[in-house]
Amino acid sequence: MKHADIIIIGAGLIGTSTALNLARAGKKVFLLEKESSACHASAVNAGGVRRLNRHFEEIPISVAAMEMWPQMSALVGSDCGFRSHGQVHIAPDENSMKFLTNRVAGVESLGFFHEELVDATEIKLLVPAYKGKCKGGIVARSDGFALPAVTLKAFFKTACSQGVEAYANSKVSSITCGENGFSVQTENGGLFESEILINCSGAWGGNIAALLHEHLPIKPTALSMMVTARMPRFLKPVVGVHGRKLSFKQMDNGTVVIGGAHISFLEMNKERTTLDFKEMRISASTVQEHFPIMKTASIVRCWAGIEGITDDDLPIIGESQKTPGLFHVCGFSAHGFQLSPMIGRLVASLVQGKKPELPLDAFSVSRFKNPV
Amino acid sequence: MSELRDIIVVGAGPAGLSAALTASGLGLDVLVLDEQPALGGQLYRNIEKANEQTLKILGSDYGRGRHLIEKFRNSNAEHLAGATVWNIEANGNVYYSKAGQSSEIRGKHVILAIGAAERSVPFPGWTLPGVMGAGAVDSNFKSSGTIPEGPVVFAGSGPLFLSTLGHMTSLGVEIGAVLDTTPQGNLLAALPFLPRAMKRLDYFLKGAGMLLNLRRLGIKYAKGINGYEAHGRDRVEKVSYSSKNGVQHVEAGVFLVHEGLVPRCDFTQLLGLKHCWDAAQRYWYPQINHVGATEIDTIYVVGDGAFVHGGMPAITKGSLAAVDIAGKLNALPLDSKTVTLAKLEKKLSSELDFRPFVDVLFRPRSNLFKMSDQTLVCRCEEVTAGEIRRAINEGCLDSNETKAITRCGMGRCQGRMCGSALNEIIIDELNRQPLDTQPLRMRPPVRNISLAELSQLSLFKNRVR
Ligand SMILES: Cc1cc2nc3c(=O)[nH]c(=O)nc-3n(C[C@H](O)[C@H](O)[C@H](O)COP(=O)(O)OP(=O)(O)OC[C@H]3O[C@@H](n4cnc5c(N)ncnc54)[C@H](O)[C@@H]3O)c2cc1C
Repeated sequence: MKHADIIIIGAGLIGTSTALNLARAGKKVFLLEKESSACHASAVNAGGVRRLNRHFEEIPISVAAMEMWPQMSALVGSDCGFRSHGQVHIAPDENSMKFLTNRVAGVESLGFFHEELVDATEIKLLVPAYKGKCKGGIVARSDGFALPAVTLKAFFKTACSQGVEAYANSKVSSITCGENGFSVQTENGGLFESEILINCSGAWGGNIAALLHEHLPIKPTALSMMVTARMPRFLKPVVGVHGRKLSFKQMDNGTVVIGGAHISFLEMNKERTTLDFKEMRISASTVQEHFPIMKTASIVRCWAGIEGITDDDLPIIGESQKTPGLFHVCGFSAHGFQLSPMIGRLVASLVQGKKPELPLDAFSVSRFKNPV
Repeated sequence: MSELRDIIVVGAGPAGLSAALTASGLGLDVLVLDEQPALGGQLYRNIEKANEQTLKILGSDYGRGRHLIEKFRNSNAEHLAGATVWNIEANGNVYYSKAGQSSEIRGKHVILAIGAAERSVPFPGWTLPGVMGAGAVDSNFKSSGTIPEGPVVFAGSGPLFLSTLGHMTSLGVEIGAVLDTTPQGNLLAALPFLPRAMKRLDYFLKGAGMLLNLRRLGIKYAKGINGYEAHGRDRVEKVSYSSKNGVQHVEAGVFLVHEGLVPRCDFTQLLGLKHCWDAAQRYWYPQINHVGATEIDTIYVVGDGAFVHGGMPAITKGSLAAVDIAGKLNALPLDSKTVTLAKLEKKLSSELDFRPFVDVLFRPRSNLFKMSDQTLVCRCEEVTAGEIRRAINEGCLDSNETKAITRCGMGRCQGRMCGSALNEIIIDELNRQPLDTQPLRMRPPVRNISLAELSQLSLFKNRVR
């Protein structure tokens, strides 16, 4: 039996970032991961580092996280491939433009000024290759993208060097909660104890909660991506189009990474994803329609990553309603990558009983009507 | 074309043709897809158009293919030439590209008969123009009659190495040197298997004749070579090679390398099937049963893509799978299925009698993948062995993670060229058992297609899952 102050389930970015912060605060932390190394959402996502278009509740955390991204080298010894070429969200028609205008007013009324309303001429300057309809759009100039696998590795390495004890191939299969805290068992025979338990298991968040008879409204979802062979440089910022399933960026090496929340088939019990080529066909058409330069681009690879999506597309962050000492930090609903450096900091305070730098109340599981 | 077929065969080589023939002979509706313009696969490539001289040079092993293809032409099986398969799903959906148009089609069963590929082994200079796979040059000769301009230096080992060498000498290609990398202890280790192999005496006579011919022609032949490098500015000009006698050089206009064949596991890996590791041949092969069935009921693997056994066994393996499927689809009563399978299995086992000898004789050298830090491993993404080692030393534990960090295997070929080398470096650096490592994960499209083509992909009207 091994004992620590805190056990974290899931060594994705959320778990690893939380572990890192707790270790820096002097806590003894076990980080349990079912894979040989974490290979799910955090390692295979689109890498978008975006404040633009965030849910209002998420903006304060997203803005604080954004201040951390350019400082990654100091934090985790790697720049994580972060490039600050901006993010652009284009309004294809008057209605979208009206919507975005209102949005920016709303964001500004909260005291945030990172979203900038721009006209069609400015969009042309920012995204010359864009040939779709355009009435203007919004821009966050210092947003950008980073390399997920590199980021995850850097966080993980740093966490371990700060004393986090990481256990790979350790799938948590049962949890009991007694007077002295939690006792956690893994499929490979490991037995761990702690006073505090944090559920950072992403799309599996509901499964972990279920081990302690709690329901979390998290739906595991397979999100599809595709990447092309290198193209001559034609695009700097990350581009999305309002009302269209398109997320589009060109990496430093020239490859183009295409997302847009197209869903793949998912067999969760086998953790097997099968791409839905009907969706990929739509994705390819959408890209072509807006970026004709892409017609001849050669598709090298498509893949899908498993992400936990909640009923209201906001993450669940906070102490369990049912089991004191258990914290859920999961269900980041396809936008947890950018937030992760800040989430680790906030959750570390939360579980130590300190007041987090930013409020987390909006993310409490109590917001859902479902009976516990 | 009908959307649902009884069997889709991928690959029109000996195994695929035989599977298709057998299945259509039993009344099944069969479609064969192959990316090549002509039937025949690698072994019988372009045989229908081969002239007398080519037939003479390539000999009876090649000529035999004519008979098989004739039978195929007379069968009811359908063939789609120039159809490159780029995705296969567990439920039997097959996606292919032909003349710039991609389509989806479904088989109740899919027989993978995509054969073997030349093992790709990085060495200093391997990306220089003029450095090629020996097998690739043999294929070029079959399909277009082109032959390399000398002086040609050959390096490598294995049956295909020797047969290509034989073809090129018969064609009068100027050969600068032959550098045989077969480990010298192999022959002794293989001797116990010789008696069982004797019934293929013709192979041995052919091999011996070829070596004698080299001597007769005064071609430099060096044994026990344990490494080589290609040198040159814009293309290969010189080859250096090492043996226990030290390092030597030879001039080269073309450098042909062949270090054995390995099963092409693209689709079996894409499908997430279980793979086994052959320690002697140092390669992964898909786990199948005696008739080529995999753990996914729809999917069968036959021929060299299942394990490299050569042409004759491939033909038998193809028939085995076809008969088994015919049984499943009620095209064959159980008792005749059992009898037929038993006969075929006996035939296969006798065809494989010479294999243990050949497999031990051509076991790859142990330092095959020992490369310097400067050696380029991934040509698509330009990643060196040193960069891979650094990532491993900084904590990467398996090939897929190392790929994500270094980009080795992330390029156009999805690791077909560098995957083995990457895995071998991991085995070495982390002192792993090969079985504890993972081959690189494959993702569709397994062959690149353009975005425009994907946007025009023709799908079933009634898609079910
Ligand atoms: C295709 C795709 C594109 C995305 N694009 C973006 C983007 O552009 N920008 C952005 O900000 N976000 C993006 N996201 C979202 C982002 O990737 C996730 O929100 C974030 O990575 C979540 O991190 P995590 O640590 O919660 O989850 P994960 O990385 O999934 O980690 C959870 C870990 O828990 C482990 N685990 C589960 N069950 C157990 C168990 N029983 N025992 C032990 N371990 C267990 C899992 O193996 C896994 O490693 C995208 C996601 C996907 C899938």
